[in-house]
Amino acid sequence: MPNIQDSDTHRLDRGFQALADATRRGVIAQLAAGEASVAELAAPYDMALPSFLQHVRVLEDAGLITTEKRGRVRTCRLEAQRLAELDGWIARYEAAWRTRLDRLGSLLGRKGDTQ
Amino acid sequence: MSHQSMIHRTTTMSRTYAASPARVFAAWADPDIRRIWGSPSDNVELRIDSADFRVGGEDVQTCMVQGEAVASVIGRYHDIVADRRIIYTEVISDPGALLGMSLVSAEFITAGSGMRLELTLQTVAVDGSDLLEGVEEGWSSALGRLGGQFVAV
Repeated sequence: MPNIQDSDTHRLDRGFQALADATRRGVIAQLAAGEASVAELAAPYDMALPSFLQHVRVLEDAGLITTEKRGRVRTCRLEAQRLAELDGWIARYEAAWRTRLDRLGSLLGRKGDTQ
Repeated sequence: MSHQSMIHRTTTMSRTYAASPARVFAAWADPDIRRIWGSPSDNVELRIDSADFRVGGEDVQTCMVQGEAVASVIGRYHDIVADRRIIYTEVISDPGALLGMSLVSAEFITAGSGMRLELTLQTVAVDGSDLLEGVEEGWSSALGRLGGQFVAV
């Protein structure tokens, strides 16, 4: 079996990166109130549409939102389940375990391995 | 505090260590060693209030930040096979209120000249799992709307 180092870390990283931006967090907050078109989401921002679409794409790639084209309107909705993965307590609890396991590794290394 | 929501998640982690399964197992079994690596973050000091590493035994730990207790962790061991596996539950409370709990399964596997640790966390967080800044209200209404459709990961 290959040694997969913490298989879901990459997935989580992408999610956290997507949320590390005020515009994208704003979009999430808007979508938490219900689905909305790209134009509606873009309205509060003083930003060219192509730039705004970049943000939408980052959120979509991270799985935090899904978009659907209906006629000429692209509608976005929140993937609540995905957001829950990055949210609060469990994410921090799991991060704590990663820290622990890494610290255990350095502790074992420091003491020298005599097998 | 009422528990309005629960979130469940199962996660697996794997680490390879240049040490024998017995040494890594000992690092879990010995509270003095566990205190060194078991803190959830570098600014938290782990205080071991009691330790009883045997099936049915209970560990009580307190997470301290600058001398102040921020969380308590009560562990109970359900299965221990020396140098091979440990299964226990960990109940984490903010002094007074349950935050969440986890079924922790650790497997110690010989791998080459060292070992591989396979860890599985089956966790439930209750309410108060704090939400991303600024989306609190929308989030709870989104959850409300999703209703029965909401299945935690």
